[in-house]
Amino acid sequence: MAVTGVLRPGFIQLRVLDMEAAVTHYVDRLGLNTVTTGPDGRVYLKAWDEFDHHSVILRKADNAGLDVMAFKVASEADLDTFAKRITAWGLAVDHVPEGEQPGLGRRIGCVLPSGHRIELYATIALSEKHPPIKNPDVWPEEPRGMKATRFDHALLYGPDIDKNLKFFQEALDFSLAEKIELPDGLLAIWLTCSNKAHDIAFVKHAEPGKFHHAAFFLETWMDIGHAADLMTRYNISIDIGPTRHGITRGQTIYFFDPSGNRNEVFAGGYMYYPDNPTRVWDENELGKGIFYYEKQLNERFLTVVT
Amino acid sequence: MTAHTVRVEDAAGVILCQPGETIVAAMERTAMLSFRTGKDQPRVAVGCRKGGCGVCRVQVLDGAYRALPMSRAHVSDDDRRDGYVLACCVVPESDLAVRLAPRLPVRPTTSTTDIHANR
Ligand code: FES
Ligand SMILES: [Fe+2]
Repeated sequence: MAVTGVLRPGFIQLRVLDMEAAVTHYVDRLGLNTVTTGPDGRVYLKAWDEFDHHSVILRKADNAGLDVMAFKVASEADLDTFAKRITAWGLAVDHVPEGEQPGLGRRIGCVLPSGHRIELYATIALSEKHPPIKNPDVWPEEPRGMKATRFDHALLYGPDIDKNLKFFQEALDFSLAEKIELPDGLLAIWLTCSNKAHDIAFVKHAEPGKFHHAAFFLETWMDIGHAADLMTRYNISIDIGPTRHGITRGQTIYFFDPSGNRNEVFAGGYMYYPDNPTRVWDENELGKGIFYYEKQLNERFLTVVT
Repeated sequence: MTAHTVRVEDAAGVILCQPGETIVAAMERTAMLSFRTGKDQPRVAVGCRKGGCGVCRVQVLDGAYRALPMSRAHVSDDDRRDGYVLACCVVPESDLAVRLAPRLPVRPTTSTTDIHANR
């Protein structure tokens, strides 16, 4: 099956306590490019290998966390279809007009059973500094800092993830690539709309709407090592890593932005196809699933969120 | 500027903060040393180290300090008046006495309705 309908994660909007520190972190260290600052002060960023106008939005607030994660769909007609399907599934759909963010068309939004807001859109401007199209060099300007190539996925914490699972499968045609199934039910799900091992993931958590991490893709394991060097050199708060996930098989470092929002740099991960079986982890090997080399969770993985 | 000690209620020993250093940064930096010397050092839970997650929350009982930006989801204005702060955002300006006051695991979450608000 070709990738249709929901194509990929489009953008994520995060709340930050100190905009200047946040921009230094995301631009100078992670290597995103500044696109523009909106009239309301929100700062728009994108990775060097993304064509679209922006993929990360920083909003200054008095608390940290996630405002919204949005997915790009293939066409305006798809957007209308998904609005109907989401309503039919049982969630309220709201509409955000074109221009609420620079370069971005109309969006539809809803709040998931887990308390997170997601949005869909079809139309977004081509970025000024997009990857070359004609006789393309490998990059337009040499990548900076950790050399993040794209906003890759997010992991969110909240209740009712079984309902989230049904919603993403039934209303948005996502597949369940991987899950942790404990004797008392689902602990975590990794969902994909593409060939990636995950585009969004959820962990069961009492408090709704919590944010665990936003992940940025790096090309190689060597780039993960370089990112680790930068984290120590610039005294970035590291959670864990470099290490590897059993789940998705990605190579990883978890670290924190200057407002305490967790980030991940992620390389590798398997290719997923919609005919693949769902990979399952149980309570016996859970540690290895999350951190393959440590073979156990650090306490922060399950408790520290924004 | 001099180093300042931080005492934690009901815990033996002190955390010694160098000038400009937060309680959490000093505790993590010296943890290895206290392991080697066998001297007790108070422990504060550490999460993001950046004022976002709230796991390092303490109440300052006595002393002067400077606070870095921290999430109001974990320390409200009322909390601040009562001396509650996030230890990863506290730079002591005198010797301090604190009590652990970790955030409850479940508190009302931030509303998702104001995300487009112009702030
Ligand atoms: S460790 Fe997260 S707020 Fe201090
Ligand atoms: Fe991840």
